[in-house]
Amino acid sequence: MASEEQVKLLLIRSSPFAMSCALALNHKGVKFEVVEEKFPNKSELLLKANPVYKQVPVLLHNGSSISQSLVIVEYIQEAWPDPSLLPQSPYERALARFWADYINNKFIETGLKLMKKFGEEHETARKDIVQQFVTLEKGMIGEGPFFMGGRMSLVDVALVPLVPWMASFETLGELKFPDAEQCGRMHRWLAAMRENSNVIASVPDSDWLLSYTIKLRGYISEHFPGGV
Amino acid sequence: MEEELKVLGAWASPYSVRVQIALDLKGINYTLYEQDLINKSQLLLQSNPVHKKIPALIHNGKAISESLIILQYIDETWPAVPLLPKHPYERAVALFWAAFTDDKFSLSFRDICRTQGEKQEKCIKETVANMLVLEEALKGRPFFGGESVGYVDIVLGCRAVWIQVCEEIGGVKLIDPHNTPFLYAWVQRFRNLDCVKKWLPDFDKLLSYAYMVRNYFLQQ
Repeated sequence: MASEEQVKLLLIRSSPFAMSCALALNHKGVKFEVVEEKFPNKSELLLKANPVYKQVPVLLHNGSSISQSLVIVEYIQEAWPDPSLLPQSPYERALARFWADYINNKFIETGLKLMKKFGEEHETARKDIVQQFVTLEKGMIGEGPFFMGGRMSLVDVALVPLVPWMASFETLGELKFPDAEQCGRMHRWLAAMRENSNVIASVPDSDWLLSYTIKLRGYISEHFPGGV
Repeated sequence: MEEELKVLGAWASPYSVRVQIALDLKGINYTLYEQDLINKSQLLLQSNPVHKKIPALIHNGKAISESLIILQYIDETWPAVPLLPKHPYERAVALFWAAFTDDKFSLSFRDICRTQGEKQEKCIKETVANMLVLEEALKGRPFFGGESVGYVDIVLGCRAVWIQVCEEIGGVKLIDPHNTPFLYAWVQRFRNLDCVKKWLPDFDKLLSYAYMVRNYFLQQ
């Protein structure tokens, strides 16, 4: 790739989707600038870069903008192919994409509901998140420690928000995920991710995220009683 | 090696139809197994234990599910007549628009058909607005894929008859020569392709089916 690369990631620190994009970039050793949006105000740059959804994260690469986190991650994979985040064979690639999609559309969405909803929706999210954790345990392939096996892939990138979010889920959801005896692979995954330097560089501190989410939840309950 | 390719699908499902169109476009042989979605077969439940949904593609015994993932698998396994562009940015643009159409239309089409009054009005309004976004994204090209049909064309185009059904049930035009001239021309062009004509459901049959489902939900 060109030596003068301009790579920027527009994000807010608490966004799980931003964490995934940051990990993909860090895994590939891509130097990038973080541009933090000050929500609820949306910058001109964001509105121009993502006119359809007007949301973070957005990747800006030498003037081109890409949005939607899994699209961004696939782009990062194609633009900087090594080290690869996808397995070699089409079948294993389909498997990796399947789980990344499941994580994005089910697990992360449930996590967001757990954080932002109240009443019945919160209750449903509490039950769902534990079931989905178990589904992920069963979905994991081989010995690990990463989802698809010995190497980090798209799936780990999609699931990385769980690393700093674990404490928030258990505290604010008043729940306990199954322990290492029941979900050994998931706990081995968490341990491996927690000590991975690219992961550490890509996610906010767990305590910061918990106090941020508590404040956010307080704000939501005051202004939007059902949740957002 | 003897290739064995099966598609577990359903005639009314755009998600199934898009897989069938893609395989036919690429000239790939397969056997289609129409699924009973109420009493799901063992094969379906085994092939997609997580979501228990169609479509599923079974290639030499290995099952792949989620229609967009199936399309990408097909494209990677049989690269002739490519669906997705090679260039990373153009590929990202295609992936973005495909995800956009599914994100915006899966639930809203369903709700136009199953609801009435304010709820239906809201879905119609959003859908009309999203069609205008797609009109602009098409930029007057023959296909979203450029000169020839591609990923986004198939992902959106498989909904062509459902679009007509929504128009009928909602009493509104979603694609028309006045407001969305490019999309209007595009949908005729897309529907004219042999691989598309083969699999798009018959309008009257789909409309009957949609009314049956509508009546069921309106009674709830």
